Parts: sequence; structure tokens; C-alpha cells
Amino acid sequence: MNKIKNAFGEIKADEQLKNNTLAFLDSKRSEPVSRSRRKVIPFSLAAAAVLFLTIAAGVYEMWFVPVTVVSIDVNPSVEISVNRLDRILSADAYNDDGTKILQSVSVKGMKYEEGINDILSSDTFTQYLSDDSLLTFTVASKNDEKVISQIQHCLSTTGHQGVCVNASSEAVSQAHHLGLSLGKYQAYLEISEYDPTITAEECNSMTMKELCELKEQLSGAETCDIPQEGSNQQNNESHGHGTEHRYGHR
Amino acid sequence: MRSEQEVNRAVELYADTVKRICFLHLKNYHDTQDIFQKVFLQYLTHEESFESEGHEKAWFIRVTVNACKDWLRDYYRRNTLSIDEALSECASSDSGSKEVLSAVLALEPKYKDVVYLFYFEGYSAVEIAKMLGKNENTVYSLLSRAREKLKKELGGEDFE
Repeated sequence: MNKIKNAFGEIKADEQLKNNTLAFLDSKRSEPVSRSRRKVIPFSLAAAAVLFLTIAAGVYEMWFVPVTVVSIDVNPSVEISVNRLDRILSADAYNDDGTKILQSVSVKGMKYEEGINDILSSDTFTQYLSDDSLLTFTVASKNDEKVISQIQHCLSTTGHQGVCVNASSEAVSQAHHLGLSLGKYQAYLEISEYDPTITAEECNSMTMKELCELKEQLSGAETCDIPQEGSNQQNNESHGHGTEHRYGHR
Repeated sequence: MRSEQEVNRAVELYADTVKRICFLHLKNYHDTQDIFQKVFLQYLTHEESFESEGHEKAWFIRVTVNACKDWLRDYYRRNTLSIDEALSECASSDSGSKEVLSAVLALEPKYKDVVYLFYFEGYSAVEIAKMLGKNENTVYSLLSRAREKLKKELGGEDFE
């Protein structure tokens, strides 16, 4: 045992080895802490992360950002928001009648023209349509001509008559701020030009036909009649808030 | 990061221990220097304090053994270890010591650390097992087999 102990005792670190080590540690100590501790992310990893985030942002933009809002109002007020891929992101009711419709028809995830078709064809919705009612579509979209053309097609296939109005995207947030659907908000704006005392609540409690008749009364212009028997007429009648297109099908 | 005084003290206290473990496994001065830098750099940045000098020494032994193991993972390094080259690190002119060291170096790597820690450092098999992360019985059997091999090589009762 002593032999081994003695033999190992002969092995010693020489001064040069110690001094070289101390000099090395000195050089390491003088390096800024942040540099020696910081884990530098390799460039490729950073580039991959940026690419991933860009793709994720693109996918998010494609799928989850609404670019079109269509408000469907009779008395029921239902609003659908649509993404860039023409899919319905959400469908919201703005009154009790609207809630009943959305309880009977599920349109989320559908192509918007199919969703609108399903709503227009549903029994719950058609019971609100009578000779005395006014079906209004209000569209806020950069691509409103295409959307209105699709709605026109939906109207012709379901045999209903209705009015299409376009609106600005700013109007959507203003409408929601007042608790109104986009359609009723547009009507509220037009009426308040003639009667500034009218409130958003009052407008919300009225049907679209009632709102239109009130506007007729105040403005003196007849705007609530819808063309009959398959005629297809467009009235580009501006009220400063949107352009109105009238489509009649029976 | 530890202070200059702390590091100087550690180098003074543990340089020989680190050197002996390097001697068991490495082939030349240059490699030993690399391991020294690695081990003491780890100490420089080791934030936790040690309970005692014994605890600190055990830490140095464990870190050095692991650093040598990592170093030897390289196939080329593992297969070019020459005993004569390693022995040139030993300054002693005593032929007896050289013979003993030569016999220890000729052992398979798995025996070397336990022989050194048991015979030179005087650790018990239980302490060695804890330090090297081995089973206690494994350490006993490694010691027993190493003892047999050394006895065969060197003769005598020194290994009882």
C-alpha cells in the first residue's frame, strides 16, 4: 500500500502547469460575464423561428382575421364575419329573434354563401318573412361587389326578396359599440340625419320594415318598395352611408 | 464567479490531485493542461458553496474524472495512450515508483480511479462509490480484482 502511495506522491503539478491555468482563468475572468454566460442562438435557429412566426402569422391572418361582415336583418338581426378564405368565422345574434335563428342553424366554418343560403332556407328564418317584412343585407368588405353578387345569387335560389347595402369597415366597430347589428346601425345613421333625437335602442327595437317606413316618413322619399316578380333592379341611391341595391324575387 | 484568491487557493490545494487523475488517463502534458483549464474554469463559475474542504476535494475529483472520461471518449485518444509517454510525466528517478506506476497505468481504465482513490487518497469503498456514481459492491469487486492484478505484477503484501 505504501508503495502505491509513495509512487503517486511523486506525481505533482508543476509550477508551469499551475501558472498556465491561472493565466487562462484570468483571461476568462476579464471577459464580460454577459458574453461568457449568454447562450448565443445560432443564426439558423433564429432564421427558422422567424420563418415559423411569419408562416404562423400568415396562417392566422388567413384563418382568423375577419375581412368581411354581413349583417342580415329583418327583425331578427344576425351578423356573420368571414375570413379571407370565404369561411364563416363567427355568427352573432343582435336580438332574441336572431338568437332563435342561430340556435336552429349552425353556419360556423361554412363558405359564407352556403351559410347565408342555410339561414335563408331555414324554417325559423322564413317565419319572419312576410309581405310586410323587409330583408336587408348590409355588407362591409373590401370585396363587397363579389359578396353582394353572391347574396343576390342566394336570394334568387331561395326565392326571397331583399335589399343589399354596403358599409364601411369602421361602421362595424361603431355598430357593435352601440350594441347594434351593422344593418340596423346603417338604418339608425340614415334616420338620425332627419331626426337627431332617435336613439340606437329605439332603432334596435324596430323591425327593418318599420325603420325603412320611418325613414320614408322623415325624408319624404319612397324607398321601402321592393321590385316584384323577378325583376332585378339596382338603385344606386346614396345617403352618405352606403349604396343600396334592391333585388326582388318571388 | 469566484474571486482570484479563491481560485489561487483551489489551484494550490487541488492541482496535485487533478494532475494525478490526469496522469492515470491522459497521454501527454498538453492534454493535462486542457483538462486543468476545463476543471478549474468549471470551479471559477461554480456558484454553489462547499460544506467543507473534503466536500470541495470530492467535487474536484468527480469533475476531473468526468472531464478525463469525456476526453477519452475520442477513439483516437483512447487508443494511443502509451505508458512510457505517460511515465515521462513522473519526475521521480526511483525505479520502484516507476514500476508501481507502470503497473497501475497498465490496468484497465475502470480500475485506475478506484486504485488511486483507495490507496493514495485513502477514501473508503463507500465514499468512492458515491464519488464515482458506482454501486458499492462494484467498487469492492473492482478493488479486489485490481489488487490481484497488481499483486501478480508487483508481488509482495503491499496490496492487502
